[in-house]
Amino acid sequence: MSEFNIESESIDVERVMSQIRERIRQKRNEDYTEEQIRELADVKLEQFLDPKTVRSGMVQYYQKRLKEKEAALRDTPQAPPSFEFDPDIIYRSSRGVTGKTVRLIRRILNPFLKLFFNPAPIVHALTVQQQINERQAKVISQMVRTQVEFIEIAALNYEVMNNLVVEMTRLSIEMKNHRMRVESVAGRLDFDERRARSLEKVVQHREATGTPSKSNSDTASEGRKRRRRRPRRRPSGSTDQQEGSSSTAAAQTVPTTSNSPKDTPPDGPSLTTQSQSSVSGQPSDVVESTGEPNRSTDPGKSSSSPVTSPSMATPSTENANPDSGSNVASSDGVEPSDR
Amino acid sequence: MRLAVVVQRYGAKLNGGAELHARFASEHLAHHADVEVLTTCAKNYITWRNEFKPGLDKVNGLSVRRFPVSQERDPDEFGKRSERVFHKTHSLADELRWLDCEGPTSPDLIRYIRQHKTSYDYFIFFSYRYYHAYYGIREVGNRSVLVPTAERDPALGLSIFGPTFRSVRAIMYNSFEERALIQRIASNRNVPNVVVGIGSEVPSRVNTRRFRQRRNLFRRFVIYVGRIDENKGCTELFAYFQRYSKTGQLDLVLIGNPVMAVPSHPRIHHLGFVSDEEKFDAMAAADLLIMPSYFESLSMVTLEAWALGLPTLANGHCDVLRGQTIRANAGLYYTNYQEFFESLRLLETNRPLRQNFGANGQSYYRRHYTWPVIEKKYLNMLHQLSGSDKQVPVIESLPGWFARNRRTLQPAHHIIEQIPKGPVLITRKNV
Repeated sequence: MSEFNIESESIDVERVMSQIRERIRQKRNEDYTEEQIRELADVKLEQFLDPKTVRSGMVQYYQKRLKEKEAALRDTPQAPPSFEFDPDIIYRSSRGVTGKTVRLIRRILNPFLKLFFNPAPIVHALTVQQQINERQAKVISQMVRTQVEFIEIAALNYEVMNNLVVEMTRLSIEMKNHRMRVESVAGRLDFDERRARSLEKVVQHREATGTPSKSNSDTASEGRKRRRRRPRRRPSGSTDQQEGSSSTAAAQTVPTTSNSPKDTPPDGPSLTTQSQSSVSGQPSDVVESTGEPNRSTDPGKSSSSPVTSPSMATPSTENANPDSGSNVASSDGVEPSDR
Repeated sequence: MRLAVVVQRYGAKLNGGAELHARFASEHLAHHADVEVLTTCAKNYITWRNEFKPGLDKVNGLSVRRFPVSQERDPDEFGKRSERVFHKTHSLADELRWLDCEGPTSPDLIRYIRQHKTSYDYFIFFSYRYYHAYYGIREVGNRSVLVPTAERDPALGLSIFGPTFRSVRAIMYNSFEERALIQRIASNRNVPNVVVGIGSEVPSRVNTRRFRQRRNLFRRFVIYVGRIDENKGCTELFAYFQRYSKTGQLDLVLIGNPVMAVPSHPRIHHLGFVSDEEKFDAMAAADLLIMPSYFESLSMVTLEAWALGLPTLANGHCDVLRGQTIRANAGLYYTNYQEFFESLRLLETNRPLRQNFGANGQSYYRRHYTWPVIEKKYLNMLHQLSGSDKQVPVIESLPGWFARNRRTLQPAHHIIEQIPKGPVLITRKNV
């Protein structure tokens, strides 16, 4: 990641800002931003979650339903005011003094009216209807209140749901990252186990042959190696004999090893492929990958057959340290979740 | 030269941006001319209730003539009318009703201007969007000089203001962005203008230790000075800062009256309204100033920060703040949380960068915003107008009743949206 390099005398806000933006861009390539998580949560849930159990567009669905309900409630027409009805109302008039006269005349003529039809049941029916209307109005207002409360709860539900979806998306991404890490760790563990077994075999092989290996070409380090191995105090044979036989043994047991510097790749993955080939059951290869490359002798032969064990493919992509086998075991995997 | 400064409110303790601007300008122009302030009796910019006595008054030795407001603002009515003219197709009559509703409606002030327009050489109107500027400019025509104090808000898109911008004698802009915006909307490039801005009364000596001891604040901090309001971008600031504080070491100190709730957070310290002395002490003690506002026509506090050698971190969505920051080369800006985080982290960790930004800001302030520079720009413009016999076009008269009531005008919001955004970037040698 690029660092800010600002010369004190030539500060330029736009240049600093472009550096900041570049840094942000680089960071974005490594991790999801909050906005991206929200976008993912809003749009493409199936990519992360089980499509059979989670409905896509849930947030939008809630939002839409909520808006529909609010609109429906707003569009509900207002009820007309209740009409006060009593038996006397059919005779009344609102014309002041004339009205009173008219009312009196209607009263006087009421018996004649009853000759034609009986207004009493009509008055009764209208009174009952008025009571029904009032009751209905009360019930409806209660329902509206309930509906409003429901909308408020739905709004809360929507918020909770939205947060849940965002969190769920975040968790699923994290889970994915963790799964990758677990796979990586498992691969590394597998690699380490194989390496340990190989090292054990080397020890057994040496004990069986009783001849420590030595490179003929590496005369410069001869004395050092001799000094190092002196404490072993092997029971038979001179030092020179040991070295000679060791080099022969190494040449025989390392037919596929690449040791030349030009064959050593500059970066992790291809080197680890090489290391894998060396670990796949060949003890002397393992020695090479554990940081002692000078032991193998014949570069011309060694690069001829790059064998790669399929079982080691996983650690090879995760362990990217080109330097040595020991570092391979401790190197960090290149995983998004590590950053 | 006799000048009248016409402004919606005026008082020694009024701290609104345009009002403070008008007071500072009046007091400094009074050194060179006979200045009288014409204003209303209102103190509160939301209600415009008459709180000062009408008539002649003295504020810091300056004559102030106050006129009563005929009607207080009805917020509900104003909200409805704003909704209509900003977001719906409307008529000219709708816009005029919106203007009356916005206030402060003071027919007495306009009448006085009409009757005494020959008594003054120039009328300097502050804030284009209010009743006094719209009707006052129509009365005095070529004696009017306008200080628009315009921001990128929908009011600028109303068609009633186009003739105002075209018919004034001169315009004193606060920033290059404001000038670009108004010229784009009103097509008034031929009107004489100058980008002036405003100076500030920055003390020559500040005492950071005094502030730290008084407030018991010994950690490094960033500062925000101004009204703590959602409209000023404070909600976003709080959200961003709380996220930032998980990794950053800085505290946030807030100075100003709160209109919204300040979150309870161990790293956020709200000091409320403080004296100018303490404000400047606090600013000097801070590492940098944060200005989160989306709409600013100048931001005096940013200039004050630069005057004190303080770098700034501004909201990049505000064209003026962004443009000023780039021109002054005195801070950084952000448009989202990632930029906020990186910019603040950089300013927090890079002391030489802070110092250089601070030095640049101080130099920019001295070149453009000290009072002698400001006064000179005003006086040059007024002398230039006096020496010129160029007549400005007569203000366009309002159309007839039917044309006024025809609902054919686009929503103001749409008009503003169509104007290109972004800072005005000019070569630094011209700044």
